Amino acid sequence: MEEEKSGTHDRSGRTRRETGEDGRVERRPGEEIDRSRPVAFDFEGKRFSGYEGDTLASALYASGLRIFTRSSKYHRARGLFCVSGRCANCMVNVNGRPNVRACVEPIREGTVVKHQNAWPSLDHDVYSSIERMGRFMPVGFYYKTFINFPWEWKRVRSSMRKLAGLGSLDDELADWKKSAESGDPRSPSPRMDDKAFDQEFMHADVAVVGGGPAGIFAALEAGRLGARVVLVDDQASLGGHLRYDDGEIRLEPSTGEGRYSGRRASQLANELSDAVSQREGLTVVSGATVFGLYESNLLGLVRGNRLIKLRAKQVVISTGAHERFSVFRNNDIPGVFPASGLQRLIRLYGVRPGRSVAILTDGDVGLDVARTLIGAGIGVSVYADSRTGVDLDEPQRVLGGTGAVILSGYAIIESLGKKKVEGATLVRIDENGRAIEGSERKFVCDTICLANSLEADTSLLYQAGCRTVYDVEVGDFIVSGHPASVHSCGGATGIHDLSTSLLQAKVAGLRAAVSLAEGRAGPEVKTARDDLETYSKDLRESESRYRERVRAWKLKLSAAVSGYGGGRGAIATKSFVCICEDVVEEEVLRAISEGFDDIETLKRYSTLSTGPCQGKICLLPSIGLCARETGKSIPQTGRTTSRPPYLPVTMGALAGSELHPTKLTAMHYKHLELGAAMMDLGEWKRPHAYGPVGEEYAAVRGAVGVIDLGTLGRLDVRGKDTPRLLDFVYTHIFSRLQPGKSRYGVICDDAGIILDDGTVTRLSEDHYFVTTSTGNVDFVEQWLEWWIAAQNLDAHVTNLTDGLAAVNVAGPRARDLLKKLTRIDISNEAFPYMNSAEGLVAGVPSILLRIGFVGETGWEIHFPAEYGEYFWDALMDAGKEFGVRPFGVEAQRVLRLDKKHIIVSQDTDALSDPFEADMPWIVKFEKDDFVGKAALAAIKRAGPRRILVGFVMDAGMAHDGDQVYSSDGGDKLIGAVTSARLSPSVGRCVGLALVSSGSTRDDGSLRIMTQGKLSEARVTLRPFYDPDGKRLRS
Amino acid sequence: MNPPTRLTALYHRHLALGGTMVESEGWLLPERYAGPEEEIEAALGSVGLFDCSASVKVDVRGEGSEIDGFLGEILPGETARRPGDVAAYPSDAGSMRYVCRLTDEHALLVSRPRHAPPRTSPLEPETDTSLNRRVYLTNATSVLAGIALIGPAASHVLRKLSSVDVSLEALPDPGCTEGAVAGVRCAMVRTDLRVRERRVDSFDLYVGRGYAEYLWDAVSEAGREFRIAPIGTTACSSMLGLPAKTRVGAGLEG
Repeated sequence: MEEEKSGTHDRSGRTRRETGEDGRVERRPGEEIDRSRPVAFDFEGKRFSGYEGDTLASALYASGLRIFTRSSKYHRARGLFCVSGRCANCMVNVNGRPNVRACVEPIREGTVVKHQNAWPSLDHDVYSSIERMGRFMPVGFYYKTFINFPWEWKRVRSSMRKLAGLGSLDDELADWKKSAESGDPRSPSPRMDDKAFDQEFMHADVAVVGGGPAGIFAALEAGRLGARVVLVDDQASLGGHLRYDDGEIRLEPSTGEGRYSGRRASQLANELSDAVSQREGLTVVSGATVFGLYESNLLGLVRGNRLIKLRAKQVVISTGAHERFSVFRNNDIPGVFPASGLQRLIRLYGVRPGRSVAILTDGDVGLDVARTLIGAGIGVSVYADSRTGVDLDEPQRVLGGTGAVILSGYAIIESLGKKKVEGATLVRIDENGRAIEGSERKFVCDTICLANSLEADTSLLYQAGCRTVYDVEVGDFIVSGHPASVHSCGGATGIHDLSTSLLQAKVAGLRAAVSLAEGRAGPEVKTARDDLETYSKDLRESESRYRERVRAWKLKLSAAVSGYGGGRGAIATKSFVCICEDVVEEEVLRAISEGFDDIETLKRYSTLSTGPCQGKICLLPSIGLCARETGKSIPQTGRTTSRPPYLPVTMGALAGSELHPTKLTAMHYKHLELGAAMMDLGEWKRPHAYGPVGEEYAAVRGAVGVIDLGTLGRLDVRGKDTPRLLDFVYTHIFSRLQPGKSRYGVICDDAGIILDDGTVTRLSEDHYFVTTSTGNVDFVEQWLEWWIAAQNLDAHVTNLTDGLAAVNVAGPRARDLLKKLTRIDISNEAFPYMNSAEGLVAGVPSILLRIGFVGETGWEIHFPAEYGEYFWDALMDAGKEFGVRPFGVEAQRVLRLDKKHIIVSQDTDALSDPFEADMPWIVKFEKDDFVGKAALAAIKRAGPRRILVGFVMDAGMAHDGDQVYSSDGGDKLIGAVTSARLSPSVGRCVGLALVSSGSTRDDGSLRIMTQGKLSEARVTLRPFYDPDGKRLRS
Repeated sequence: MNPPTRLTALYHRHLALGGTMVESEGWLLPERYAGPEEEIEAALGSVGLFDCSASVKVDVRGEGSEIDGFLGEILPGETARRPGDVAAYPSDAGSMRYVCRLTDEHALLVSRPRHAPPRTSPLEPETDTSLNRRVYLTNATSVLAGIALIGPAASHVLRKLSSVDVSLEALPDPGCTEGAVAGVRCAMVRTDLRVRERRVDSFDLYVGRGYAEYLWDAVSEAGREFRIAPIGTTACSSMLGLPAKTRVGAGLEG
């Protein structure tokens, strides 16, 4: 063909004329690139350049690139298409990040861009041979084939996923991940992007989605009464189609904006943009895609690597419309554009899309494109209006003398070419929209422009809960049944007329403003209400006029919707219905004939509209086909459900930045100084051990040890009803506890299940100090608050956990150590076991509790956290002469196990009650009432089903979780080990096991399956160490 | 034995950031990092980060009417009756700075740091408890760490970390609320400053002391794009128009 002869192709399919500056049209007003500021970037290892304001796609296209990616299934060449971020045709890998839509990704200096889903190159993709096997892979191929050979599916799945799909994380990232997992600290971080993913929360009185003219007017009106308005747009600049429209603005006087009539569209876009920037209280979020509308008007936005959660009281949706996709043979090859894509390229980025364009239209949009092309010095080979009998005077006026063939009643049936458009075949259609056989005409062109009528973008409105019903008269989905706080305007409503859109916008904006001003009075509110009434009336009239005009267009919906594809048996010459998922017309027809004739099941079976565009390209064609084949109307066929995300969102954006709350005790840095191995305990960091656990154990048993108890939950409970509260919540009795005394207690639920344990200390008549287990303090606080409210008690709980550091000083020399630091009489007579005192220790105000969790003489000391490091040093200094050592969680676990002291949730489970935990003494049935009393009484009557017993291994080591068997030699499983450690004092492994009641007895035996072997163990119901408690009471 | 020096939960962060630590009112606090002038410019130009943990904090709990009465006694003429209210103490009424009404039955008193009075119990409030009332006062100075964000970009940083609406319309000046910041529960107090005849956003976040370093790091990371800078006591006092050493804590004064 003539076009091919005029240039020599290089390896990337570019001609010399198409490269460099030749890829741009003459500079025109309104373009968004700055030609004085070049920007360089890498693509496929070669240096490319564009201009500031370019997108990656516009710069690459201007440089001659035509194939941007390969399709997911057949690996067909795909080129730039929508130029607005709606489709998947230009997805590339940018700085290691796959699936970036090049048409909305601004170019940045030094960006590294790679192709995806092709090997070895976009031009020569080995996998494109798959297309030849297309006939063997019909719709439902996977289901039909692998249901009989499931083992084969496992084998071929990974290969198939490599061939299909939409790119993968960069090899570089994979390498990094591998080395990071292997623990190589030198591995460089991945070049995923220059910023981490993060998130932002925004709030608005009114959120307007869509920065076209309707969205802008809605935003301006919505803010009239002082509302905070956020206007979100997915493009870099506001104005919507006005930015690239070449036409003259004509507005009905009723819009109140007649003054703009006569201006160029781009000029109006600039003026509106200025008006927005000058409006106080109006925030613009540009370059952000709204991907979902969730409950309570929560909008999910993504802007680059940032997830924005925007919550609004009122939402106006003005997401506009896009051209319908036409189904014809070879309709997916590079060089086929919708009108808006072509106009964006030319008007916004000054890019020359080609040199000879075939314009196919079914309305006035084709003429706008023709004007744009002629103005940019680009040739038109053919202008064809699919409407029959339409007046061609205006096209003749615009295109006369340019050599363009002007036709009416013709539609495209095939694009010619393989890797790029080389021509188009048109066919004459009759008044019923049917192709007339033998009327085909071929035209040479390098670009095909589909200037079809528009299709409303209703996805977000659907998500908002609106009803969308196909209106045969208007030829689009019309939205109704808006929730009270959701409004719509512009092309998204299915009405595609600027004057009507502006009236809709004013009504939508004012409705939002007036709703927010409910209950307010004043002249400005009254004016707004009056205006709303006036505009609503004008809108009804304007819509009526629009409908009349649409009827006059004689729109042939069957042609516009379904196009002229290959039909059955035409799979070799593919007519794509869904370009994301590579679904062709023949496959859809076959699926329908197989019984998938409901639009929802058809979607699931054929994967129509499930790709990255989420139906924006293929929804209406697929509905049209389904309707045609089933003999139903489009309204009867209905539409598929639109769910978030409306556009693809990266997992990184959804995950956001890494925020894992961590808590540090007041002595944290002291532990680090001492070289402690730290462990996570809930959100807390705790020292697991400072060195050999045996040495820490020995220090506590033989001298004195200190452990950081800062993670323990501490609650201050005050008020005259506090004794009553604690008696009700705990199973023990605390109203009889004398001030200065401490007591152990457990909290149970209504079923008698143990929820938590800890000590309760009475500081004064109505003031208690309560400790809880490390992870449960928030729960216990809420549990107490709940019962205070439920019982209407005068009691108040303050969580002091963060404010108090704490240590346990334990061991036979603990008293000697503390004597050096305090004047409090800590003799056994003055300060016996389970007593408390308040006073200064090392000059620090402290609460001392004489408690023996580890089984030695010891004190829990609670003091203000800001003294933590000082206090720790004071203890270590004072204890040097007594051989003091810090001990960690592991040593503590062994020490407490010696005493059979339980850890709730370690030695109990979600069904354990105090009787099972071998603590019947802690349940005081003599109290009037307490939480769990009835259930515990029943358990007591029936006897517990399980019992927590101690055991000593004859030999070997048991481990937490080991299974426990009865000792009768059979294989009866009776329970499991909850805790087991080697006790240096006993010299053998000791532990606790939760076993069936009656399965064993004191001094009986049981068998433990540990590391595949059954080992004998002796049961003991008494502590393994100091069973009479003499040491901790001494 | 002399009471030892008190360390805020962010002490080690200040050291890591090169803060010059000085003792003030019994606390070891960062007097400066880059230098007061640079720190002030950083805060006024974008956002500064200040450790206000040393402020005296008293947790007030009780029936709503009792708290109203108590606040009426210590704050004649002005009070914080509704949740979200923040009321200033007159500068000559002791050392109190503001009271935050978090809920009907919960208020937080915040005052400038000062030497802890002699006491034997860590639960004893560091404030006057002699007034006759039926409210329960608990010393929360140790419980809550304080992180102040000061500067025009402060709300932008918070918007990256919290779903709480911190706009002036939702959280007026002065005002308070409770909510999660970076996933941890905080009391958020807005007390904008008047510096060089312009209003400067200022938010004090009070969080459980254990979370202090985590929150400081999260705020620092979120503020990186705004060039967030730590500010010391000298710069902060200067912005408040107060003499150095006696002033610690951002926000409303007198």
